[in-house]
Amino acid sequence: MLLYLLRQFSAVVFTLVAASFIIFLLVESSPGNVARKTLGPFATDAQVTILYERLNLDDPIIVRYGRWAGVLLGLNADPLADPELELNFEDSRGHKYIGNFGFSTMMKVPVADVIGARLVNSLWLAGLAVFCIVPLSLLIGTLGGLFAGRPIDRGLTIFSSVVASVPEFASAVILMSIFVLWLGWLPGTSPLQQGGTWPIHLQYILPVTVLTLYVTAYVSRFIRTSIKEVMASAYIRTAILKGLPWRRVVFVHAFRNAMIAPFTVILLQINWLISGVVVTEVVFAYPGIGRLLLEAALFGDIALIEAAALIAVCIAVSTQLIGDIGYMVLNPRIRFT
Amino acid sequence: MTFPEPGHQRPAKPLVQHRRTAKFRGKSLLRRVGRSRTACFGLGLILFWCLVALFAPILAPFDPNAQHMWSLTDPTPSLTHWFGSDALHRDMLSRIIWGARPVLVIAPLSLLCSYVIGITLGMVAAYYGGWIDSVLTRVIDLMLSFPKIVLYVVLIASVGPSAMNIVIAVILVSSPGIARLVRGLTYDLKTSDYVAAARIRGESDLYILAIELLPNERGPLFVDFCTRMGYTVISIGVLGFLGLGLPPPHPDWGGMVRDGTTLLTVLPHIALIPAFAISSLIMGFNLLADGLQETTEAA
Repeated sequence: MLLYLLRQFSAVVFTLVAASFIIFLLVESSPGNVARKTLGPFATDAQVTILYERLNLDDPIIVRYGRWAGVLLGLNADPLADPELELNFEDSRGHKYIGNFGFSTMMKVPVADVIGARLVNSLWLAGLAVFCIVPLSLLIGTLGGLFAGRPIDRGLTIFSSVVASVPEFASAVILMSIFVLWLGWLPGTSPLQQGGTWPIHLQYILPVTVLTLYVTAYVSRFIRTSIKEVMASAYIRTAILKGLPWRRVVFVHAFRNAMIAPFTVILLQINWLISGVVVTEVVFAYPGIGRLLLEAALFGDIALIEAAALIAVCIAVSTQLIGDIGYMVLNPRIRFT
Repeated sequence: MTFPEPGHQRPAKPLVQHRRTAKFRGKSLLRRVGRSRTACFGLGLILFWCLVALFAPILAPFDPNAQHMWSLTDPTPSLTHWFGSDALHRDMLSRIIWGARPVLVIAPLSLLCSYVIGITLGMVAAYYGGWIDSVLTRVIDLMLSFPKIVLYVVLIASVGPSAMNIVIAVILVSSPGIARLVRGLTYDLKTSDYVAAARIRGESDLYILAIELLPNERGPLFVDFCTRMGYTVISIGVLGFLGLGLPPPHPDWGGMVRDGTTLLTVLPHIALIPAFAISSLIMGFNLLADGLQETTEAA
């Protein structure tokens, strides 16, 4: 068990290192001068030349990656903080600390200052969505699986097919037209600011609904298939034939076994959830990390793109690890090797 | 009933028959679509949009980029502009019709490329095994652990939005998943008798992979293709919506929704109509995939 965890953990570390390299490669090897791109079109040529030298942009990409990773791990200082560049970038944490993503040129502050609050907001949004997704998809999936082929199953299947066909940005627009424009019940944007016309808890409703709808439609299908397969198995037939009450068969015998596959599916849905979160945050102007990533990407804020992308990968990989371990724990048929 | 003589355990005849069954499978695929009402409906939706895209120059009442200033007073749907006009007074119906084109070209094109890459990688990994398999599996796992949207945003933002770059991004994002699926399928099939027979006959690896194995993986691959088409259309729409899709003058459904959201409180039709258009196309692919899956399960 310990060996297994250790191996999984080292795989995660490997993935993160490789992922950070890929992100670095994508962002910094794109056409154009990285020093110019970092400083933006209004920097003087002298500044660009200095940064070009400080970053040693003539070095091979792998060496530059090593240096970037050094900054991230607090081994060396970020070249952008160099007073010679006259950017007046200051970091209250000092020049060298673990988790130093450098400076955001868009916001003119250390990336670490921006990311924290945004990340918490996104986690809230995603957490609330998961809180709705799990019971809803369990309910829909179980009903469909138990009554497979009957009208109720057909209705639910059609419902989830239709809902799964409406991408988040489309469902957001549709829901906004109904609840904001037509009925006027909910706010159309969710900037999470106090003192506006709408209280904060109402600002959460539409973003969470948009996220919930799409992912629920997707997850409930897996649960339906899983329940359907388990209900057709021999041990369930035995349980029914020996006269156990149907409710007991479903909840004690079938449910636990049928939950193993969907459990991983729900955790692996994190990738869907993350892309949903980005879109939803953009639609509703929600101050989360997804919108931050998009804004940084459109602005060309290299340090911020790298930080936001790496954090998203980090979240995805760690939930996948939790999913894997949970799967092992739930399913005693799988041995730890 | 005659038994094969010892030493001739794998006579030539079953092999030929096997290849014929593979051929029949293509026909039964169409028949399977016909058997399921869901699949028929899905296929109908897809064909509808394909026809719209194909005959866009005939169907569209106006130039999709022409600005109609007389609609300035009332951009809502009217007799001349059935779907109204957008913020720049361009006819919405024409833009929806022309907007079917980029999606229906980019999505299948990029997916076909992804399938070529994914099938090659997956088959090579499963067939040869050993270190090739472990290296490729590692790479596939790595690519799959990335949240797709992050790859899309970072990629397109660093190389700039254009049709070509969207195709490249889709290929990078979807081929690892295809490779994993094909690897699994090939892994199951490579121990079958007909592969052994082909090997004994002295066929080359390429022949075994392309002629013996590939046709037998068609069924699951086709269902996967339909599902993936749905996802790809979503991704293209999302990219357009985030402002990373086709550059502005082109009519692009995702971009149209994006333009419409700013005016949603005043003129909801600008965002709603393209949102429904893209959803109906995705629904077509999802229902087709559902229907095919259903008939496979039933068979």
